[in-house]
Amino acid sequence: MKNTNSAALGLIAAAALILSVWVSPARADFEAGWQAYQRGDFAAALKEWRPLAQSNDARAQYNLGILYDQGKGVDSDLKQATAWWQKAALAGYAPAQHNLASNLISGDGVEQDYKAALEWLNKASDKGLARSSYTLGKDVPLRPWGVTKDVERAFALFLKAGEQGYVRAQYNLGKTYRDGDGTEKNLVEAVKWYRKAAEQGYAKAQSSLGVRYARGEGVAKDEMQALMWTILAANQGLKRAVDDRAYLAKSMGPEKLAKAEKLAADWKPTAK
Amino acid sequence: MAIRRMFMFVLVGAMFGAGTIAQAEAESGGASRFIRDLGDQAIQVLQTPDLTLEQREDRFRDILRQGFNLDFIGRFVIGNHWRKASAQQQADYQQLFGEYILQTYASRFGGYAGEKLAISEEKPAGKTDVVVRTRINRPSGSPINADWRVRVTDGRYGIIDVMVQGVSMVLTHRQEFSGLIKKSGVKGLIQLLSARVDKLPATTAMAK
Repeated sequence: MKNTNSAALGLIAAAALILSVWVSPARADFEAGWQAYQRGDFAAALKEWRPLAQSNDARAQYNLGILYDQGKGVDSDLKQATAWWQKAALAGYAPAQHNLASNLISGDGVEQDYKAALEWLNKASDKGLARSSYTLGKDVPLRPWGVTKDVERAFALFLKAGEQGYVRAQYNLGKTYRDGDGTEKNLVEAVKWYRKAAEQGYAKAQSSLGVRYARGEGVAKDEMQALMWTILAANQGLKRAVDDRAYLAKSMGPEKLAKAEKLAADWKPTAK
Repeated sequence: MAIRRMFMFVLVGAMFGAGTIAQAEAESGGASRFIRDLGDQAIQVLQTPDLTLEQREDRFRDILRQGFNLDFIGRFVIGNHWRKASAQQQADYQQLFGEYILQTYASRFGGYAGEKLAISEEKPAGKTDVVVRTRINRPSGSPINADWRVRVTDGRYGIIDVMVQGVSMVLTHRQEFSGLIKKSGVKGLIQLLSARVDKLPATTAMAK
């Protein structure tokens, strides 16, 4: 018994060794490609990822598609980008499914096909890709195709993506709760979701949170908080926030403005 | 596509060639200094070692946002179709066009190095604009001539066009979009832009 056990252990160890030797060059190649990509040596990234992509590594196929799409380390070629994303999408790789859907909508590198785009977005959303849930909720790219806006489904999709920390979905949840669009109107919930996105640095949400504070809607009225969030949004170039800042600053005076500017300068975004 | 690629080189040159621009400063005026300042800011981003490629591209995007007069370019590119668009379409288009331009061009900047930009002259263009003529010298390949059309709006300098080897960036976009608008309207253009800005970046994430 003991002998059988140690023989089995020996076999497992040998198998593990073989496996690690067999697997690690591929892993190292992907990582080497990633390091090169981060350095901005896109030609080197291409060299690492192409053989992996050719041997059906979906992640490498996806990244190779990015290089072709953006013309990094290679002449931009949307057909090649789409073809690599298609391979990875068929292998079930969600980011590739999402980007393939984008190209099917824009018709970049492939014939426009909204029906196929919708199917890929649903697949990626089902796999938990927040961006795809958001895109489906927003449905702007699909509206010309005749997909009618289903506000309750949009709300459910935003909630799914918002809970995963996706700022644009969180901002849209703020709007849906504010307007009672697809869910019951709830100003406290609206503030809660605006705040989640605002704290991550999303300008539109910062501006909306500022307005909530200025009006005291869904949150206790606080002109200093209102001005601080408005300044943060205005600093990112958001027009409506620039106007609001001028308006609030005028009514509050220079002393309070200086204080709010100090608060804004000290403010740091939170990670997702 | 070739034009777009060239435009990348131009911007890259402007971003990375700050030292060379500084040498040319003596003969140049405000518009040249404005282009040089953009380059200086970009160098600073580059010299921040701990940033990921995505973070560098984000910061480049902010620098470009300051440098380009996106409202003007957006309006010009869509031409007469602007008046036919609803207020909501105008707002959607301007927001998406800005995002698209910044994303497209910033995605090319993150890691490139080596290009040098030399300012050859600055001359008036029409009544309101100044063209800053530059030459981009690359580590490999022949140099590229790029002209930056700069206009002062509300007391601020802003790039309103870049001409690479004599071909205008805004005219190229205008041509591409005009055909599309004829075919599928302003809503078709908005759809195209929203799909293009919606794409995800490169990743190390494994499949789920």
